[in-house]
Amino acid sequence: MTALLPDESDAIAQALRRMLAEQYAFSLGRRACLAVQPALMAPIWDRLVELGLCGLMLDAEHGGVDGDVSDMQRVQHELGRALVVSPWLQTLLCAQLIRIAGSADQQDRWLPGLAQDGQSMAWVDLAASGGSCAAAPDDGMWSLNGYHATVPHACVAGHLVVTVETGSESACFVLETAQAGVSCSPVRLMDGCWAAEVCLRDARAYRLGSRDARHLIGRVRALAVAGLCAEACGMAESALEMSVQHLRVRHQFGQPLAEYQALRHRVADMWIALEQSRSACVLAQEAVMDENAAARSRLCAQAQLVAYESVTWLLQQAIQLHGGMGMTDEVAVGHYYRRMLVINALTGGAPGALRALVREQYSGAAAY
Amino acid sequence: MRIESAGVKALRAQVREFLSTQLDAGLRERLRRGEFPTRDDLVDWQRRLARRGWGAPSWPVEHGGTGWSDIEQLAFLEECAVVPAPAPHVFNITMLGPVLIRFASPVQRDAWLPKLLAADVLFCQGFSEPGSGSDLASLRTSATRDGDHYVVNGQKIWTTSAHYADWIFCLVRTDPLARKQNGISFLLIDLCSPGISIRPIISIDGRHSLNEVFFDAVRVPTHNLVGEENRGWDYARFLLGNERASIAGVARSRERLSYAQELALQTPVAGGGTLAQDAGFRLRVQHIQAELEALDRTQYRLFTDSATPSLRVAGASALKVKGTALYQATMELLLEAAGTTGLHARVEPDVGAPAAAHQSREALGVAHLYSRAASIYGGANEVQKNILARHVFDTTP
Repeated sequence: MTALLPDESDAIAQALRRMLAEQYAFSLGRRACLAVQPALMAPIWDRLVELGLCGLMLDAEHGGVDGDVSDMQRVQHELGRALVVSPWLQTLLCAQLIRIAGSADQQDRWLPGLAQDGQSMAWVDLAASGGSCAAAPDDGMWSLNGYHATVPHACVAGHLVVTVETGSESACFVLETAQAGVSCSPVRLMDGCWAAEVCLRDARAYRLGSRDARHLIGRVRALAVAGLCAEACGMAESALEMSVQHLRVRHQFGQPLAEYQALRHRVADMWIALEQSRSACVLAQEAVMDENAAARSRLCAQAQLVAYESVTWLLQQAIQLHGGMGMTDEVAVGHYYRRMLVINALTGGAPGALRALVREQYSGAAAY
Repeated sequence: MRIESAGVKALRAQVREFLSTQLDAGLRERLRRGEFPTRDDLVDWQRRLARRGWGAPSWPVEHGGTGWSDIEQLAFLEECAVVPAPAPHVFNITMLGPVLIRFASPVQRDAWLPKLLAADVLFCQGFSEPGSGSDLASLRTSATRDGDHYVVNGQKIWTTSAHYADWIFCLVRTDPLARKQNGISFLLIDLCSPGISIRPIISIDGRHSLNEVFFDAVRVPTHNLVGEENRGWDYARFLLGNERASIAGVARSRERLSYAQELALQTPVAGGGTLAQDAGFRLRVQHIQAELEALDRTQYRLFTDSATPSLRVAGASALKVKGTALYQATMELLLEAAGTTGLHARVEPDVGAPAAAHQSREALGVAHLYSRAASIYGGANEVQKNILARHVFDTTP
């Protein structure tokens, strides 16, 4: 449940869209932000902090505004439209892990900094992503050994939140990145994000709470899906707008491309795909709010399958409709597609979701 | 197994043997990773092929060709594609050479063909313009006669390799008053000519292969006109119809699919096991392989004598549409098989990125991005379908 009124939620989204139009235009502000060195925060981050967005889903006690998943999705939608590359979602997800798995002291220690001081964190979800980790108690704290090939925004993060699953138990750990046991080697992804190859060698970590965190992690994974679906939907919406505008303006054989029936049908199909992706965002919201782990897991996978498949296809068509121009770095449609490819690779994409649904349906293993 | 003559089988064996000894292993690895060959790679390879007598397989024997049948030509290209090895230089050999052989004067043929064959000169193609893509005949780059020169003004776009090529063959408008197809000429232009400037275009894969070429009062000797003035559109149509042999890209798709299967053996999937063991992946691989097998027979049937000229034209469109769809589906599978290593951006040494950012790993994601162009270049698929539909309606009783 959100504490934000509809007007307040609208105002946030509109203020964000305005700021992005001014500060993060595709050819200017955005390019400047993408040229920043891997270990530094791009200027866009400060703008997001100034708008108060970092406390969106945290409670007032810790400096937040008590928003919910639908508020988060509205922000992600705008960030997707503008192709924003930032640790906003990562940080929000880490904050949620601390909020629901951490003790009161742990929440007091870390959440205010995330809500108000512009600190960022990166989530290393080892079990979900095929990375490996071993955790052992060590003198009041824990010692982690592990590796993950691709952690978005790890280089600028003050802390990592590492989620680990053994056969019997799951746990979340918070680690400072500035310690000898943590190494982050920058890796540039094709969407412009600086990710890192993360190695943990006897890295000192705090365990969040002390109980099995499996279901809690599942809830935050659902939030991640909801956020990425919303971002993908924002990209699709904007790419369709650009395609329609291009078809109106581009003339060949003496007429605008928009008058060719084949292309009109293509646009109609893209609109249907966009609407399906909007609905996938709703499925993901329902997943987040579902108390039943199996139902939540299934809805998440369905949302991911429909959204990622629809948006990937739509963005391919957007490139096609732009002709040769769609293949250039100067036009945004190719950049939307690159971002979608990164999302697909990091999450398993539509094929991964389909696999998860089959596994779950026919063998009872949870998808998320 | 496609039924082949002993002669074709023997040719395949010869080509394989040649490739195994002549193709540099480093070049092969780079091509497998999805990188473009460099200018030096292309020149070196063209010369190796030429030394073997295979520099221009489709040309008449008296100009350096092999005398092979269409089937043998295709077998040769397939054996190269499946390694992968580069084909003969596309602009010199597949595009310009046949135009000169058919339409140029004997003097021009003698002057140019040996240089094209030996890659002493590299050409690029100046056809498309910002306002003339699918509607190429609407092009506006003009060539006005001034004594024994043409003065060329205008702009070409999507010119692959113009940044390292030596010459460009251009469609230019020599009669602005005629019906658009009837006022075009085919001109050879030295890229070192005063008045030419080249602007790089960065593609969505982050790489530089395309360019814009600007012509500002460029003087071109009239003896660089190919054939007759204002007949250039016929020569262009001839050129564009000549790419038949590998337009379906079956061998290229097969090679990429087999590479995807190889990578998939090492790609973990959530829930355990590898992508190679995944039912969904296997189904898609099998499906694409079956369709490629059928497409392969389609292109062979179109080479037989019983195929009418109009069927061959329509067939080329069908091969392009279906071939690019299968190629793009294959490249999606390859991207999945590349897993997260396929995510990495390509960082060129000359883009001031810090040293730590240079990635030596597979950049298959980058190469995948370029595959989206396959349905756009060479006549966008939408236009191909128009051509095809016309044929179907014309020929259906």
